[in-house]
Parts: sequence; structure tokens; C-alpha cells
Amino acid sequence: MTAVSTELDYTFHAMGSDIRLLIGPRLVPTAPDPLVAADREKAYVLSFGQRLSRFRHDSELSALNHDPRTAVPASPLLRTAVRAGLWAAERSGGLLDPTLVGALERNGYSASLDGATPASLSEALVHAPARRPAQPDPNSRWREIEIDDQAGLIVRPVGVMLDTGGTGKGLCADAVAHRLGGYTRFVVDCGGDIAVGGVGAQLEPYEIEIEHPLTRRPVGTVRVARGGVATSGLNVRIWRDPDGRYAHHLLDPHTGAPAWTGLVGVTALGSTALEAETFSKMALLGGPERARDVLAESGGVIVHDSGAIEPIGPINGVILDETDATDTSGERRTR
Amino acid sequence: MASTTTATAVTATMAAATERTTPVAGPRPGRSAAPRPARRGSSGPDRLTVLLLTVAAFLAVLALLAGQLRASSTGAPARPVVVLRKVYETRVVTTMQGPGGGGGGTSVTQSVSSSGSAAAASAPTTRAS
Repeated sequence: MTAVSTELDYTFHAMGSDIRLLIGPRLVPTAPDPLVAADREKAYVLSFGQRLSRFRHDSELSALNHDPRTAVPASPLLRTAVRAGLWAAERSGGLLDPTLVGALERNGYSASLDGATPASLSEALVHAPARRPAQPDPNSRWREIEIDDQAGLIVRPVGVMLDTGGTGKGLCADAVAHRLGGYTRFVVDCGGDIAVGGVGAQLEPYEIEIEHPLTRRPVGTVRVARGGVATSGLNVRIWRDPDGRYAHHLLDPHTGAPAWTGLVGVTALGSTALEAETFSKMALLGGPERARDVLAESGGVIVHDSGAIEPIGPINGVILDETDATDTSGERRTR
Repeated sequence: MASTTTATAVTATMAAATERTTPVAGPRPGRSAAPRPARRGSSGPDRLTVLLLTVAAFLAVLALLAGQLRASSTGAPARPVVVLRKVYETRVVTTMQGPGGGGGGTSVTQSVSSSGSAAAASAPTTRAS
């Protein structure tokens, strides 16, 4: 018995991250060869990143942010990206706020950190202020943003600048996954925000490794048949400002300062990569207690400041504790 | 008419049976026994003996064949044979490094696995980015 299966493993760099595509054999006979599809998706992702980058002056997002009109014509992609940001804000009760561009820039994140060496997270934790959960800003103006698909407009108060980076990679992974529907199985990994799909993956799920934000070593694997997995952490986009203070990119909307909540990393599962990314950021910003609520239904793993790993909710996989391996197959975590 | 004929036939049969079952008296003293017709082939074995010997020989041959069949089957127990062929072939199709620090480089690996799984590809990793 010999069942031959091919899987394309295609990696490139875009949106400040490594992008990886795993594409199985064709399911639809008219679908192009996986290599042709991967080339096509690479072009799509590169375009996606360029059009939605707040670091590029020629991007559609920058054009929107600097437009003096209240109602701004916007492409379907930009409207979709802004809608995803608003959905995440709504879903998180305002913890994921897409209007924090000014605060990010004040904290030193005004240019891409792609290729920059991150500051030491362990050192940052020593000097970080007292831990507390982030809170939404009740006066945030993301609630005033509207999208008019019929007119092709985004309507927002002049001067309110948007950053779609908080949800962009998850959305991109989902979009590419949708475009790969003609293949038996596939993984779209946009810098750690992962979408899994295809009937083959449902029969034989992919094993997704989770990286520890402090040690950078795998802390276990989750088996994913479909949907999304995403990780948010403080270990990559972290720097020291001119005064020597540590800062990172996940801000407390209420204070506009980096959030130090007692968690350094969260991995979440969701029905889509966008949902998983939203859950992971919600959990990390909310701190340990809120994280347990956020992840209770879909499952996930939180990593405390101490490095301790805590699986939460339904996880089909194996999560390593500091000393041993815990098989969490089925419905329950063990620790 | 038919019933009369049947009754006559039955009567005749009964009579014949009576004749056969009537005990035959032995030769009376003073009278010589009636000469019996000589048996056919009386010098060789009779028919029954031949028949029995034939059957015995046939059974012996059958037993011999059965024994040989059993010996050959117990010597090598039959098992279902499963031929499993696992071939992992990793083929690097293209590797190119794009210009500049923007990282336009692309690494492509096409893995061929006979098991039908994606085992040849390393596991995707979710991490902060």
C-alpha cells in the first residue's frame, strides 16, 4: 500500500515576520499547482502588508490616516482591515483599540522594528511597574468609525488614526486560507498567527508547536484540524526608550502606556486566525484572571511573568510543564 | 379393475415370501442331498472381500494425502502479508535570496511522503511576532 502525498513548504518574509505556507495536493482539479498557488499567495501577502502598513507613507492606511476628509474613499481591502479592527475592539470591550497610533508613537514605536534586536524581556520584567490588568478607554473614538460598503467609504473623525496591525496578520492568514480552499490541506502561518484548513487536516490534524516567550523553546503542541491559533507576547516588539525605560507594543488603552499584566505570552485557539489573535491579545492585556475567562471556551495557554505555563480550557495536544509532559488530549487540562 | 390387479400382485408377492422364509429341512436320513450348483470363481476372493479391500485401499490413500496436507500447513503458518513501503523524499525546488534587507527571499521545499501525511514537513510554530 503506498499513498503518495506531497506538501509544499513555502517560506518568505513579509509584514515584518516570517510567513510560511504548507499546501497539500489539489482538491479541486482546476486549482493550480501548489507552487503556483504559493507564488500567487506570496504576492497577495506582500501587497496586503504594503497597502496596510502604517510605516509606509505610500500605503492606503497612511493615506487614510492623513486624509483631511471625514469620509474617505477606501478599497475593499482597507475597509475589511478596518472592519476587522473594529470587530476586535467590540469583541474585547475596547481592550484591543485600533486608534492608539499616537500612543504607540509616543512610546517609541513610530517605525518598523523588523530586523531590530529586541530588548531583553527578562530585564524588562525586573524593571516593569506593578502588574495590573489593562482597561479600555471609555472615551476612545473607535466607536465613532463607520464603514459604508455601498459608497466605498470609511467615515471617521478627522485626526483619528488607525492601526490595523493588531489584527492584520490574523486577517491575512484567514484571507489566504480562504484562497487556498481548493487544496486538500493547508497551513497559513503569518508570523505565528496561523490558519489551518482543508479536509485532509480534519482527518489528520496538524501539530502546532507553541514557543515559550522567555526561553524561545517549544512548550508543547496543539493538534488543530481547522480554525486558528495565535500567540501574542512581549518578547519581540520590545525596546528601550531614550530614557532607558522598557516599552513594548501592547498598550493599555486607558493609560496609553505598555501593559504589564503578569503575563508575557498567550496562545489562543479560535474558529479563525483573527478570532484567535483577538483572544490572545484580550487575554494578555486582561491579565491572568481575565485570561482564564477569555480562553475557557476555545482553549489556550498562558505564560506568566515567572515563566510558568498554564494550559486553559479545551486543548487537544501536549503541553510541557517545567519538569514533565502533560497530555491534555480531550477536554481537560492537567497541571 | 385396478384394485383387483393390485390385490392379485400383493397376493403373489406374499406367496413368494412365504416360500423363501419356509425353513429348509435338512436331508433326511436315507435320502441324498440334491446337488448344488457350483459357485462362480470359487478359487479367488469373493465379491464382498474385493469390495472391502478396495474401500480400505481408497481410505488409506485418503489418509496419506490428508497427513501430507496437514504437515505442509503446520510447517509454515499462513499470515496475511502487508507490504508497507515508506518513502520520504525531500526535494528543494527553489531557494533564492531577494535583494535588500526587506527580506524578499523565499525558501521552498516540496516534501513527498508515501504515508499520506504531512510528516515530512516540520511542525508550524505559533509565536509572538
